[in-house]
Amino acid sequence: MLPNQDSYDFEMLRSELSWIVGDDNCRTDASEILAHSIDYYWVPECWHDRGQKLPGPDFVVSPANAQEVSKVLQFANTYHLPVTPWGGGSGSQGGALPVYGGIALDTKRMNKVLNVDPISMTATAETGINMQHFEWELNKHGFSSMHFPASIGCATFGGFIAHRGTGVLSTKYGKMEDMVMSMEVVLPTGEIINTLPVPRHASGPDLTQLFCGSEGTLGVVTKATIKIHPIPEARKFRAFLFKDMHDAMMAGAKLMTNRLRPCAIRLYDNAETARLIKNVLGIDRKGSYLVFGFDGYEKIVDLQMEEAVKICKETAIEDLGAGNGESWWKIRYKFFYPAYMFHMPQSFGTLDTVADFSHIENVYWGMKNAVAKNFPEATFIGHFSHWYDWGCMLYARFIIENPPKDPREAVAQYNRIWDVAIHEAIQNGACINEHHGIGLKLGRMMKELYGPAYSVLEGIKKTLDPNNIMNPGKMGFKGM
Amino acid sequence: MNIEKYLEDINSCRFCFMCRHLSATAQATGSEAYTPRGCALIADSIRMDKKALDNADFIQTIFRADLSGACRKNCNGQYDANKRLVDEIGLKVALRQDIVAAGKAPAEVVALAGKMKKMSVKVAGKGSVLYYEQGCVQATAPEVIKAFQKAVKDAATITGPDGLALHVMSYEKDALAQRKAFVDAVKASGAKTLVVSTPAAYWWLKPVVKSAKVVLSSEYLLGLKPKKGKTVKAAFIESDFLNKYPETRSDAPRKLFAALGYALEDFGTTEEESYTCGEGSVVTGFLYPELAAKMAARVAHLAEKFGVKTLAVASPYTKAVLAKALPGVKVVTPEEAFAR
Ligand SMILES: Cc1cc2nc3c(=O)[nH]c(=O)nc-3n(C[C@H](O)[C@H](O)[C@H](O)COP(=O)(O)OP(=O)(O)OC[C@H]3O[C@@H](n4cnc5c(N)ncnc54)[C@H](O)[C@@H]3O)c2cc1C
Ligand code: SF4
Repeated sequence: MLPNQDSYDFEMLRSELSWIVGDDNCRTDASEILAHSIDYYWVPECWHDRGQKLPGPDFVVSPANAQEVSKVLQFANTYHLPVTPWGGGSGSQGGALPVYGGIALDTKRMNKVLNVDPISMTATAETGINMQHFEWELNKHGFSSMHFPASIGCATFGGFIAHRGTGVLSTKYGKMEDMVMSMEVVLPTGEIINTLPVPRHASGPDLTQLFCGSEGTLGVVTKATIKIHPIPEARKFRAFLFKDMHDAMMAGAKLMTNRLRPCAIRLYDNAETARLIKNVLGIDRKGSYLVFGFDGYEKIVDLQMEEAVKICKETAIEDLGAGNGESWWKIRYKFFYPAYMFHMPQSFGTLDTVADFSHIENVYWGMKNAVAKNFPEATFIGHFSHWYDWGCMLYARFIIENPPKDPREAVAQYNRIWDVAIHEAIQNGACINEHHGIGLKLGRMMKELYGPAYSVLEGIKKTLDPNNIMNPGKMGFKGM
Repeated sequence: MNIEKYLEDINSCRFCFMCRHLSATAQATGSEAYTPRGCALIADSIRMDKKALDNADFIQTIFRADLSGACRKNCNGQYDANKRLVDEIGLKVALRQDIVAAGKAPAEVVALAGKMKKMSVKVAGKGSVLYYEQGCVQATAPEVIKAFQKAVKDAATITGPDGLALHVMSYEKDALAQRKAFVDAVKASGAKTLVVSTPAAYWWLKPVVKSAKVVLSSEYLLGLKPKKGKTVKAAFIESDFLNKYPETRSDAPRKLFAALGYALEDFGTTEEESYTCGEGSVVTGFLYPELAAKMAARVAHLAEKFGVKTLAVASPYTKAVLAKALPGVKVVTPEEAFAR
């Protein structure tokens, strides 16, 4: 526990931190503390909504570069203060919440694009840069990251690395871990290291991938290089309606296993088609809506589209045409604006997971049935996006219209649903999560997912972070 | 409380991150609190517990946060006609009003408001064209006024407050009284055209001045058939009031620059952002010069990155802030471009 704000010791800590990052960049004001106490995790939102006091950081510290990050971490080791990296705070797993107080290390001052290399088609940036700003700057040079998550304007580059985030075009361009070439990391003890400059080699295990998805528990990623792409000549979409999710899933899988290269495929189950597709796109149909797209040279796009349409026509009940595909692309972020999103007092969560084509439908039905059986008050909906050669991601959601008023009861119910649904996902051959990460929310399930292999992760954590200062209590690691 | 009227906006913004990349003050400072989410969380905390109105940190944040309108524009652009639009600016102004009503306004706000309240409107000269010689422009960018008066020699002038500064500081009663006095003075002058140099005044006065047509100086100068000069390559910074505020969209400054031979390219990486350094909050440069300077530093970084030599701006406010921050860059307003 830190001394309270009106003590000599607190002032001493504040002075030392201010010497490292400058007075303006070591904040203890109530506005900043409040804003860093709530991320996109439902639990703090619920607590705030119900007037509960929220745990927050003692200091919000914004370093300008890796050297300052290093000094902050050395300082934190001296005083055994927890340090929680905070990018955009848009993570939905509570990963950025400074649950033990201490330092919220806000990365947003490290926000520069450092290099755009048009020969290798790579770009290097500091990781606190807002992803939309990074994309805009690349566009100005005539390129794109092709990373288009719904939270492109909400989140930082580093946040996406820390969570192995994904965007709408991941089916062709990959998830963040596929995009990253190399990175600079400040280890928990303050050493600044660089991973190898290229992602493919036979020079030992891949450190870049170790830090992708480490959620601030193994250090602070301060700089990274990613692949970039030319703006494609054409990008075209097409939508189909299928009788049910199974037929649509088979068609989507066939697009992938026939080795077409769509940039996006998205399949909405019957419930989401009836709810979201109707609400947002105005397409009022019974069945499962499938949309996909191709991009690149127009001739190649057209050729691939022709083959894809043939596949879909085998089983679809309606060809919704290019217009109903294009409009989905145009309003792809709209789903996340408040008027279309779930909101308090509803209880809701995104149970995203991933499995191969042989298992993914069982995962869906396993989770859906388990939620229906144990929580009849919950609605379960889902869509499938981010398709791979071998499987796809299920973006399932539960919604409870009227959860208990008492915040503790509401949170207990919320946690139970997660346990039941994710346990079912693991049992059916899926993972805890596909792109939102583990954070505080799902740490308790890491041992079930990894089995004995989890001790490898624990060993790495112990070695890199002997004083356990980096984001304690997250990803299933020990708290303070 | 005034914020009770904005309950839906609080509920929309308090857990929403969708427009955070457009909050000018948040970008410049790296602060979470200045985003619409941060401000709505503060408003919500005050709504739930009035004691939070005593929190000096909350109050500072709300008075410093920008009113650029970039967030709101992005947000409203997503909404169908049948959905209620989110008004994050209205919420901030309402909260400022509650703070002022509770007697908790920051000392610097009280001082500036006190000064503004003592000012009064004066008209000099007579004619069908009345030029608004705004005090803030006179104080920070007098060359803009000179340039207009060089181009239009016979315009009568009106000086004194129009109430907008008091409005953004949320002394609403005084603001409206000042605006009424201004409107009455315009009427009494008999002028048929009121020319304003600041887009802010254009936004604030256009809906209420009925006796004369309110036009932007660039609009007026366009009517004088400007001659095309040598081509000047320039990056252009649009005004918040002419771009992000839906009531007064206008491309007159852009058109005037083009007519004068300027080859404009939008400044920065996107027209979605606000690069105006606090223009929407009108008095940021006076109240919080260090904050305006931080916003300007961000613009300076981008200007350097993209090799900007000349910056064409739609607002004298932006010119005043940027001219200081960008010593190596020529910053020019429509009036000055015309005068040259
Ligand atoms: C409306 C909305 C839509 C979303 N849509 C998507 C989507 O389409 N795809 C997707 O992948 N996600 C999505 N998300 C989730 C979220 O945007 C991602 O998880 C994102 O990766 C979080 O980034 P952030 O910068 O906000 O990180 P934060 O929430 O601040 O932090 C997340 C975790 O990363 C750690 N961290 C942050 N920066 C660093 C760093 N530099 N070094 C080390 N650790 C760090 C933190 O400690 C924390 O554990 C969405 C969120 C919202 C609010
Ligand atoms: S203005 Fe709109 S997009 Fe921005 S925080 Fe509020 S609801 Fe979200």
